[in-house]
Amino acid sequence: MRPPESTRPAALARLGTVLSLAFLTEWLVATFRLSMPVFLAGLGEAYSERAGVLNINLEGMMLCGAFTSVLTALSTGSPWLGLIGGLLGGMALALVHAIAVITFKADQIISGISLNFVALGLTAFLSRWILGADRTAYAPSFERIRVPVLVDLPVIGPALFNQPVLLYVALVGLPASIWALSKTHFGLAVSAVGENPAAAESSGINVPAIRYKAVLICGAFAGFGGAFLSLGTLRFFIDGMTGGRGFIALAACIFGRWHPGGVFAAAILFGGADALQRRVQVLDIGINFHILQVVPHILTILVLAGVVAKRSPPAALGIPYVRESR
Amino acid sequence: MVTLSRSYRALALLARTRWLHPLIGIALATVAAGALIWISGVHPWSAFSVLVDGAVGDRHAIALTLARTTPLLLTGVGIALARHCNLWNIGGEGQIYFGGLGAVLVALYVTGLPSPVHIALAIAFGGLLGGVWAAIAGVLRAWRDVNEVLTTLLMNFVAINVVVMLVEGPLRPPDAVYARTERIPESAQLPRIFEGSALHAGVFLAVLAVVWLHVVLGKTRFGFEIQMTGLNMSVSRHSGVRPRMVMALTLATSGVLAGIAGAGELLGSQRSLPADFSPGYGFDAIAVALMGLNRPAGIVPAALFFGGLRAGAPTMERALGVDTSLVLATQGFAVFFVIVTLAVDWQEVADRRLAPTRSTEQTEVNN
Repeated sequence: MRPPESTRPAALARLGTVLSLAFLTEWLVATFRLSMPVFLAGLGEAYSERAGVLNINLEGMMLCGAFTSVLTALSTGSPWLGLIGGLLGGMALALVHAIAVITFKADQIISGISLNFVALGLTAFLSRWILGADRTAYAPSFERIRVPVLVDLPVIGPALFNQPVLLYVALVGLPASIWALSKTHFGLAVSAVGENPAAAESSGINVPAIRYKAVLICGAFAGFGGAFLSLGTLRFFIDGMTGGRGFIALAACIFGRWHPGGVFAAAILFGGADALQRRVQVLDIGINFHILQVVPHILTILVLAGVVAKRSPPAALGIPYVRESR
Repeated sequence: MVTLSRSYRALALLARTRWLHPLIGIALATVAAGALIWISGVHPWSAFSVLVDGAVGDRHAIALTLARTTPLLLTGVGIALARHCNLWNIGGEGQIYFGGLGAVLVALYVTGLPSPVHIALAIAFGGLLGGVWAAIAGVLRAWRDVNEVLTTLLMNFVAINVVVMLVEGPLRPPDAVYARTERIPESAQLPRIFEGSALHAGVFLAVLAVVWLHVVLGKTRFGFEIQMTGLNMSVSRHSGVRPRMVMALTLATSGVLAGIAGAGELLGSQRSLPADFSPGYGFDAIAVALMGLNRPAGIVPAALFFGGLRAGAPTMERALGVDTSLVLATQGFAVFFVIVTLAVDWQEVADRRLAPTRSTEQTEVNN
């Protein structure tokens, strides 16, 4: 829907504000906030894929986390318990996936796709039944952390030093995961299991156990991502509120070379695009809202098309591990 | 002589007959759905009987079930075709929207054609748009090695938003209350099977598609190349197949079928393009292909089952307040249980747990 010609100069004037500092500041604030769900879920996927298990149901685990976190926060009155509820919600679906693909060696993609259906249908059904009229009630929210002095830094101050406390908790996932994946025994075992499970097993690693742990960690992170979306942003649950972010997170994991730092950078890229399109929507400069809305999705496809050929995933990704019979 | 226990024979039978597994999956999913209905305070039996009544209760109900089955069959055939090439088409929903868009453009803006030509052209253009849309993902997969699960899924969001933008903007009649295009002219409408029925002539296209899948897979060079590429890319290359071209063409064909599904739905059922054109047929069709084990003989009953769910669920919601989102969860459960029962080597389980020659204690020790 184009604005009539007479408003064009006004639209151009609004476009001019894109270059202002205030705009940049707001954009950066929104970028950080919008990146977190994708970052958290993509980080979880890095654990799981490094161990050789594909989690296409990232979207479903995020939805479960989004729902259970709101449910827990509403019923206990505590956003922190809500967060824990979100982690458990994501882990519950991850456990089902793990049982199917690790214990029963079912196809990882099909299991993931079917569990996405389950999550979408189940959360919609349960939210109507359990929350009923409370579905649009606001859940208790997290307080904001405001670092004095630093918050007054131009442009980056508000983005880095005046955000909801949940965002800082999410950011802890970055150094913690870098450490866990590259410096701990567990992290090395995860990589070994994903690259060559037979060799890992012969060096004394319990392949199924490591894979279970990696998938459950993935579920916890994805559930956190979902909780960030519902509890940390909107403060209520809507059907299908993840809107494809689980799949963008999968792309972020690939784009970030299965490395926490890379996933973070990719998530900031997608979050930045999302934040930019939202700012542009507010400016109302005559670009259709529906087209702006899919900018992150298009960007994801372009990024995958541009870079993916040079990426090499873990060698045993997607392949069930069958113990050699002795 | 060894006597085999009854449960051993049951497991061995299960191991031999793969077509039993989808039935077990449906049974388990029904139990799960029943449990959900029960905890939400409705008696499962009454819910199921209302649902069955809404799906096959009278000729209008049966017509509705078949009408819902039609897009599921067409799209499901396309997804199954892609599966034979070891490809995923998760983008059926977006391709259905584009199919509907193509059909409505021809139906509204190409005029003066005799009815059969008008209909054929509208369906062809719908199929073309669906095919071109899927071909993007196909080309990216074949030549750039981009995971088609991600691209096809993400392109759903793009396609739906493009259609909604057009329906709310240029295609919306100036005086319209709702965001939907003008009603298509009579000459472009697929005829209804009987007066007042939901079922339209598009169902014959669906039947044709199933037969086509059977012929293509069993009797044609293209079908052979698809399956060969699906099994092993490098072997197929060495035997003179161009695997990249085959992959791209397969996804494009898959999109054409979904596009035709959208065109049929528009010309036969909805007859004008609304913003919420498809209630998720593209996703249901994934379950149809999976439950039908990607075979024509399996896709038909699977599509009828999910079509029946789609037809009966609104009746159940109206009568008992059971939300239709239950259908989605049931589909997920059904597919999930099927793949798990398919993945288990039941013969091995039988040998291990119920081996006829050894005592139970010995088996325990050996494991």
